[in-house]
Amino acid sequence: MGYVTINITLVAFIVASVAYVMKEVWKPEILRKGSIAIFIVAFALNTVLVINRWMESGHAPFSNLYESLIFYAWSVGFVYLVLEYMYSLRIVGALAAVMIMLTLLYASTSDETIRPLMPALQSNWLTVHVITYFIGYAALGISFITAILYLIGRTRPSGTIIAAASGIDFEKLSYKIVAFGFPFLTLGMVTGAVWANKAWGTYWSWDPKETWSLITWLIYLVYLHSPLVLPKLSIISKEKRPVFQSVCLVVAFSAVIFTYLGLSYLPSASDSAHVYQNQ
Amino acid sequence: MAKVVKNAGAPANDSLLWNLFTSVKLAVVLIFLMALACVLGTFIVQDKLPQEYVTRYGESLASFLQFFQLTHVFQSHWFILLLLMLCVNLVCCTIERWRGDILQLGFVLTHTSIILILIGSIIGLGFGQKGVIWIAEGQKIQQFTRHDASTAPLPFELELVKFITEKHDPKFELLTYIKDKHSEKVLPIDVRTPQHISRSPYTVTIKEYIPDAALLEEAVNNSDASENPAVFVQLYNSKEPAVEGWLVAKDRNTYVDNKRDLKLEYRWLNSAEALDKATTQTGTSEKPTLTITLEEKKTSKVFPVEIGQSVSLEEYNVKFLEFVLDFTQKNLPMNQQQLVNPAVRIELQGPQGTESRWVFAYFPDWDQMHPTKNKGLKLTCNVPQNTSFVGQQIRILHGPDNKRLFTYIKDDKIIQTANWELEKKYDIGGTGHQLAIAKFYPNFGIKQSVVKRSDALVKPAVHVEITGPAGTFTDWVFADEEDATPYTDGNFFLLYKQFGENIKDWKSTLRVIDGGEVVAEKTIEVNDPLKYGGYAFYQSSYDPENPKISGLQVARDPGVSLVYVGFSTLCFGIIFIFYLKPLVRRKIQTMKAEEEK
Repeated sequence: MGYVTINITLVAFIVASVAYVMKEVWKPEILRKGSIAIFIVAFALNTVLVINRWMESGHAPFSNLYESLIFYAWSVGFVYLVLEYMYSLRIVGALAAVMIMLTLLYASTSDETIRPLMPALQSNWLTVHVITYFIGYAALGISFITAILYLIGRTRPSGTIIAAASGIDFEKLSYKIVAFGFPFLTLGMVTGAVWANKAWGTYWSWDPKETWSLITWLIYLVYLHSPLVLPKLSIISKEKRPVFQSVCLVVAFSAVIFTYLGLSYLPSASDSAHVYQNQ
Repeated sequence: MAKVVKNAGAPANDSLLWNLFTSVKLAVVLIFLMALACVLGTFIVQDKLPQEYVTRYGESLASFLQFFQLTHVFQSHWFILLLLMLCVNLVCCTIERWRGDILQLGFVLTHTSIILILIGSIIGLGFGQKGVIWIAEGQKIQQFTRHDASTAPLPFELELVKFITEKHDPKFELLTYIKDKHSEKVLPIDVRTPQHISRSPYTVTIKEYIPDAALLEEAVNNSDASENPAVFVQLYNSKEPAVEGWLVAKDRNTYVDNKRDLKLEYRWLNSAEALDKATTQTGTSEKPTLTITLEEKKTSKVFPVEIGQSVSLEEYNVKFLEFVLDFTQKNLPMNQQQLVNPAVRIELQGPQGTESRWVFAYFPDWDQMHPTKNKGLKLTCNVPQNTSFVGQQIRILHGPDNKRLFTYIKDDKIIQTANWELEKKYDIGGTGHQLAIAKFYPNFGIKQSVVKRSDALVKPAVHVEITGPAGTFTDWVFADEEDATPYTDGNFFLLYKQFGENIKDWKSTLRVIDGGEVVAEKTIEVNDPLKYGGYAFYQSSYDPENPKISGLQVARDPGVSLVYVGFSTLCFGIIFIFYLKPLVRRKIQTMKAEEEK
């Protein structure tokens, strides 16, 4: 069941992505609203995937890598639709669809066996903690896309698809999206600490996952303070400031991905309660 | 615009420091350094023993890490200094920039919150305590173990009234394994459908599936030819419950009962002479032996262990002083010891002097690892499995022409000899024991059968048929067997095992006793602690060896409420900055616009 739905959802997001690109390049009337409609259909399929898994396993579907990837894909779709409504993201939708597609593709290769939850995970805090974090991560994922688009737009100023969407200031948009996502990142970290204190009597224990979530939070904190600091640094010219900020976002989201998926590569990972047991 | 507005009231000589600590640049640098420290703290393993760093990173790098406290980044002095500087920086920045504007609310709240969290954590570190408690059901405890293994007292008594472990229903999977390809697959329990293992010559058919199976072993008589004679013996007396069992002449033919100080033996004898010998000679069981090996001369000799006797080889002389079946229980009478750690104590006279030492049958290298006077010789003690030191023996004998005799021997003297018949009770000497031989199977065998105990999924088993290059093979495969079931060719295996996290929850009913009175009682579980007197007790673990022992975390953290205030302030401040401030600003602007009209 899950196997079939995930493949259909994947295809739907590919179609959505192509529709977005076509909309920007040839501007056919039918795709003006049509591309978003296709995205919404794909998102609905992803929603079915999440709900189906939730019902099948009997717990919120974030307990292993497969479940969390499916839910991350859903979060990106959800946050994209919210931001699209708020700021009109246009071409960003194409890359958001690609991002979701890649996430689902990764999910389809990981172990989907339903395993019972270990005692510490049987808490409502798990739900709050993961949902806030994933909404934050999804927004930051989209800010990564806009930062990349800004950087590409600067190096190749004309003749590209980006130019077709030149109505958007990707630098300002990135900041707005981070401003949307950062509170969720903070809430995710704080709920995690509160939950840890409820489960083990320690709100912070420098577990690798905790430490890396702090690292990502600190990098975004640097980014958010950069408009205050960059004008005071004479070595970075005014034109270079947005480049610096966009690079900062790319680095920051790489840290998010590392926090989410890369921790098993750390020498200290075996001591962590957070690393997905992807056996 | 780029210049920091100086505080008009600040004295001139403070302005350099003040400028430094009110600068956002410093804040960003400190944040960056903190992030860097965190990265180091995850890429270098933390809080391990010094030796582990040497083996992992090498001598010089390890001492470098140790010197810069990179082995304990988050407790290091420089990291704490970093946090303190950040704290001062935050205070200065907040004071410097606060102008009493409502739009600055978020700014003030977020920056103050970090200060609160840092102060709260310092209070926790300075005045808090953390540790673990292992407590058994019914036990009362008034201390806990800190993480550095020292103990700390509790100001009250904690009692574990009850501890239960809730488990999920077990789940099992049948795995196939092909050795030369190292490939493992889960085989669905699909009864009667042949399942071919892809890209392999093997096909598995599950012929039967039992969710809760047991293996029954039943004694059977295979034929009337005397190929494997066995008797079913019963021993009664008025005081103790009866013992009964099969004695197989060619296999396990003795039964030693230390409690009754008695050995039962069944012998199948082919000739009249042998029968005669067995009825008239006491010939006790096999004796332990001591082997003396002279390593240089490459000679060795075996001697029976007889207490009080002396033996000699070349220039060495050995006197047997004592023999025990179990070294740790050596003060018990011999007939109450079990064959656990047999050892012989000897007095050894050699060229290097006289000494007394123990020789252990199961630890032959013991004397190599301990200081001894006489080197150059090796002593090994061999104790046969049927060694016994019981005072009484009953021999059940079966000779040619269907002659059936039994003898009762006490202290190496034959007390009683009689014929035996099936199903009759015989009084043994004046012991009060009664002997009966209930069954005789000339060709004894064991029939195994698999039976269903219940319909619940407890210990499943499958009856499988494997076909492959070495023909067809059928067997029962039980869940949780230690070894995989091999197919005839030794390359294909089946393993039926339980998988996944089986523990659902642990629940400890705890009682706090303060001043002789029960002042608090709560059943705690993971994520739901008991709090009393500033201490909190968290369910965290259990003892896999003993289901009645609960593992608890103890925490006393007087700073935690300040940290929580900081958390809420942080959340509210950030929500204000990014979600509410734009709305408030718009509202103010429209209000101003209306005023101007």
